[in-house]
Amino acid sequence: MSLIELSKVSKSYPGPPRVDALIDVDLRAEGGDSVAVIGPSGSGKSTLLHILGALDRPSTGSVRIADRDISELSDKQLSGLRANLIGFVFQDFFLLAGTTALENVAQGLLYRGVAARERRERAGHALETVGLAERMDHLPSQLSGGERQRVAIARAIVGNPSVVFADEPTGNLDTKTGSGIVDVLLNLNAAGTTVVVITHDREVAARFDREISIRDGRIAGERSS
Amino acid sequence: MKSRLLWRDTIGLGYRGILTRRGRSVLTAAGIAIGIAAIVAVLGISASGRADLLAVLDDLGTNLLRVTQGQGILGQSSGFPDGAAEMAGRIGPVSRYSATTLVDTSVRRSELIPELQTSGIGVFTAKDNLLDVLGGTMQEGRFLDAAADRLPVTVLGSVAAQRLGIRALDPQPRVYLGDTWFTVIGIVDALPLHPDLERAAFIGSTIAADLFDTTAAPSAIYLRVNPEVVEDVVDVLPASVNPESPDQVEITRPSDALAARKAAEEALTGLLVGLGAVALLVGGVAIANIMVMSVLERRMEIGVRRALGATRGHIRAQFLIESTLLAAAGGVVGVLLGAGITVAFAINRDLTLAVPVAGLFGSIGAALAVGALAGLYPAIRAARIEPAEAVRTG
Repeated sequence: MSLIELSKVSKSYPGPPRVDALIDVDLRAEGGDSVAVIGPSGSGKSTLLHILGALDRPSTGSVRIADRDISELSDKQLSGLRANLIGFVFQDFFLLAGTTALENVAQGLLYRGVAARERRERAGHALETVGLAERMDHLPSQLSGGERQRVAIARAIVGNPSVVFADEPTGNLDTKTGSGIVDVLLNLNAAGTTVVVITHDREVAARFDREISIRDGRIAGERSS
Repeated sequence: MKSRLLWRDTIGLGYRGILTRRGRSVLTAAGIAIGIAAIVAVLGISASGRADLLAVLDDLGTNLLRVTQGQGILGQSSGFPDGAAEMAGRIGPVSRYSATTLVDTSVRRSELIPELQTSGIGVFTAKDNLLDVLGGTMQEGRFLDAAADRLPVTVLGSVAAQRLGIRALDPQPRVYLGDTWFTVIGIVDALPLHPDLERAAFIGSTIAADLFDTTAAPSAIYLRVNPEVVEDVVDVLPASVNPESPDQVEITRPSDALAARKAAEEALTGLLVGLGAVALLVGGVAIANIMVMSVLERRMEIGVRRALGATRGHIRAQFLIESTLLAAAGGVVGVLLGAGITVAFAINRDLTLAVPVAGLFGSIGAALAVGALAGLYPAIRAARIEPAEAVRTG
């Protein structure tokens, strides 16, 4: 059984104008995969990531995550899936302003019903994993872009999810910092977590085991090493 | 596989939401605080005022009637017949009665003061039970008694004593009454329902008859009546005390004036509480407004929380708790403010402080209800935000 399995997935937004963001997408990801989805902006890759991560539902087609059919799950159950199995990293980091790095990471466990003390403890470990042990009490405004993205990654992995989705994680960073972020994600993958990254950067994509190109809402090709 | 948010954490989220936007939170809660303060202060002040009023009413009783002789249609005053007071006393529900007769003389500090300069003080005869019927008390000394009835002694009302410059009975003061020196043996406490008697000098009826030819016909009769049949007594009184011209008999119930004052104050209180409620409502609308704005501003936060596993219910609860906490904070500040105003007012006006406990809890409850209600719509809107839309940047 695959961790994630998309078959004949389409997603359209009833405009006007009507937009077909995804058309007949078939995709599988196994546990332990490292996948890069590459495509130009507007190709539908963000929509694909949202559907892969149970943040959105397809218009047609079926999505199975950890052997559950998404269409049969209620909004509440989808939330439960996200809380327990899935971690998200966004291009703009989306940290809570005025809240320390540690508290930001601890938010990743908030919806698991974990008590505050344990949340902070595990958040500390997650920050160590991404190499930010010394920055725990800093506010996002006191951190560099790369550091902020590491905080966001720590927030995504603090609950030990099966899969981490990263939407253009290097999009707002310079090449060197971006490369460091990719290192963090690949280390995570080496430790057993499935990592799916969306990018328009060929160099970034080349570092992942699988590289899926997407164009105009359709899968255009796949390279796997 | 479930999404769980601890209650403690939900409240923590609301609390954090308020703290991270401090200035805005203070301004928003101020509306509620003002409304609640107004309600609490109005309730507190009127309760304090009413406590005093009720105490006066209780003290004096509402079953006292004052019967006087009015004028006929031609302006003539026939006066009560002798024994009118006893006639009134014979009416069944009348438990006690007393009467005074106006004495045709004046009271002065000494013979050097012209006779016409009366300082507005009237001289009345009184029986020993007058004070008992009126529910009055002595400020100094004692009231007239049977022994004093024929002696040149007098008891002064509180205002009369003040105007005559008499504060204490030691050394024994004297006043010049008519053309005789009278010894002052007592001063009566204030009689809030009988301003005319506060301005009176009382002397015995025997000496009044001896010195000033005062008749036994009363000029005012005071009656204590069984409270349940006051109206019935009022109906039969005129014919009893003055069978010749019952239409000229005037009956007043001094407590009516106080009762009217109480009713007026209650109406005013109702109006002011209504105004406070309007302020509270406006405060609620302000909270709703700010919360709707806040939801729009915090789309990203909502999207991230949904991505982290928050259910719609969790988002709803977060915003609902936030607005309720905001209103509660405003409510607590308002109660303290209102209580402070009440205390200051009560001290300033020398009122008995009465705490309207029901009002306090009621207004806190009202603040919570307003906050929850105001937060309902914004919370529902926040929960409806699609997570995939909220986190989309490109």
